[in-house]
Amino acid sequence: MKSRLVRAPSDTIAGQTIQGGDGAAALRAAPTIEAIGVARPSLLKRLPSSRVAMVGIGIILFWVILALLAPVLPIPSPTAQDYLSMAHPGPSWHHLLGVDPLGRDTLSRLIWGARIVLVVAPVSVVVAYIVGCTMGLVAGYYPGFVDGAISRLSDVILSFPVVVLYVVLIAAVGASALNIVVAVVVASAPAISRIVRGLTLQLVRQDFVAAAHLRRESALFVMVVEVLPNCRGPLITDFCLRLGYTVITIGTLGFLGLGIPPPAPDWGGMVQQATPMLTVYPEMALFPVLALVSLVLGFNLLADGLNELSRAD
Amino acid sequence: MVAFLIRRSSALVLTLVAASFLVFAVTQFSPTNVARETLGAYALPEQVNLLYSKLQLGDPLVVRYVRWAEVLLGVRKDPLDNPALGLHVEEPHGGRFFGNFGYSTLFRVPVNEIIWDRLGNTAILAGIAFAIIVPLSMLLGILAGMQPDSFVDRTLSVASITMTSMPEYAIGVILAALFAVWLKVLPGTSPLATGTGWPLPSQYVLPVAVLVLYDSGYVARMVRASMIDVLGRPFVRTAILKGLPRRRVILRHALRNAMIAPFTVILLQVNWLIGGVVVTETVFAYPGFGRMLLQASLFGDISLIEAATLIALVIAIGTQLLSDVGYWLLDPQVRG
Repeated sequence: MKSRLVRAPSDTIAGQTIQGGDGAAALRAAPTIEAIGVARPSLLKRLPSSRVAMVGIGIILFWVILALLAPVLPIPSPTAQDYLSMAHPGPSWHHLLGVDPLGRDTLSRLIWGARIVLVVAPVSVVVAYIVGCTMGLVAGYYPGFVDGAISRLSDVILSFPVVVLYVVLIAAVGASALNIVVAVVVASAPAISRIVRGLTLQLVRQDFVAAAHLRRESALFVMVVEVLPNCRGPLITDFCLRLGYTVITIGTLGFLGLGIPPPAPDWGGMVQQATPMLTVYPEMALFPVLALVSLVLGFNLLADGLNELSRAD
Repeated sequence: MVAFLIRRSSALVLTLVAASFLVFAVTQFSPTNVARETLGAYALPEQVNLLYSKLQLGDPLVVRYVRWAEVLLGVRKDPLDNPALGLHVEEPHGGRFFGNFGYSTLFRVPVNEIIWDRLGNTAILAGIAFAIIVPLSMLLGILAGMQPDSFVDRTLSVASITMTSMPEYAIGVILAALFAVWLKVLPGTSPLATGTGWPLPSQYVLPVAVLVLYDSGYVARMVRASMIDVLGRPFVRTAILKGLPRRRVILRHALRNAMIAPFTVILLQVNWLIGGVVVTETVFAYPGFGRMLLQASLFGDISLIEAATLIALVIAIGTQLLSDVGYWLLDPQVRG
């Protein structure tokens, strides 16, 4: 039972980094022992049967479409200052959601800001997944020294309180979109690696992997073609949760003054600039907050729906 | 038990060494920066170069790390604490002692003079929050787990998915707008003077509320999942079938077993809470540890960043160790 003692806290850490993601449950729902040859409609095809997931997709699509249409929508430039409107910065006909403390149109900044967050968050998570999956597959496939080295490194990084890690990293290397991607990869790849490693350890004992070895397939082939596709169940849920969580992270960094540098319309930065005005014009901070919460909620609802679906198997 | 404790504690120390080296490597990656940050923005290039050579910043990273560790362990004097440098850095406890974190360039005092005060403030804030989070989320989780799909359960799951979608500062801004601006019932910030403490207890309400809302949904969900799991096990069925009252089945049989998994989750929340306080303290301008770390990072106060991260790590890893020990004590299966 020693392994359980060691594993229990690590599972909860993985669950914790993705906050709200029932990490342990996601692992339990792993489709590790599937009947061979029984075709089952894929998770994505059954998606419409989950109302929660569809609501999530709806919210995400709303922001994606707005972000795509940003150049053609009849909105002012996100960096243009309207000095006259600063006398009455609340919502008006000229500025539907009002202006920020520098007289820039809030609606326009929200829509253009969606473009930033909808590029930076997915890119960060995808890169984190590439790094994390590689680490996890290699660690799970080569027990012993390689596994030990990767797991210890993951342990060290995962023992940092996440926000502390982000603050120290970004403050040291400077705030930019690229550095945010790097920081997200450093902070989340170990957690992804841990999930993939656990799944790989179970999968390499299965018959189809033994069959692949018998066919003399290369290690790379076994890892990428045989093992990785069978990890997808828990990973799809984790991917959505992590997307939402990364949106939160980018917002938090912006709020702390470590986000995408001004004058780019960064949602978290907008909240930060509006917070000193909170007692006078609370809506200045509330609109970006609502935008951010709605997008995160979209990703979390999608993750929740996917989780329910995969658990129903 | 002793062997287990020794093994875990040595792992803790190793993790600390590795993590502190990582932080050191990140913050001191560029050695010229160290001299520049120490002297401030108005120092001449000659002064920076002089300090660079006096502090031997040209040495390899590992050498500098060992030197830093020696200062921390009390083997060596802080190189800045040298009258010849003329920086007026003076350590009131003398040059060599265990736990010498060096000198804070942001606050212009030794790190030890500022960091423990701030940590104390944060401990008060996080302590109150924790004292509310644990019983509240356990109660909600047990109620929801007793009857899955009941009204309580549905409400809890909707509330917790909404709360986990909200960053701390979003909750903070919404609560402050609601209670401090529109309803005008609670103060939205702390007093400007950082040294005087908080005269009004009501100033704790909003920061604590943010931490509680942010965290309890997650813990409650964990308790719920564990409760459902335990209630479905054979020994609970046996207890029901032998005619025990439902109350007794839940309180005496199910609860203890259902608490094992959430116990570790709750302790690991301390790690999460450390991150949460960084943001919450910034929202409400609370003079605590998290805001100090952010200020130090933005300013480039290297000694303070290293000290704060190290302390945060000790707390985080310490609670991990504690949760392992608790797990060991609670679950006889692990001991066997």
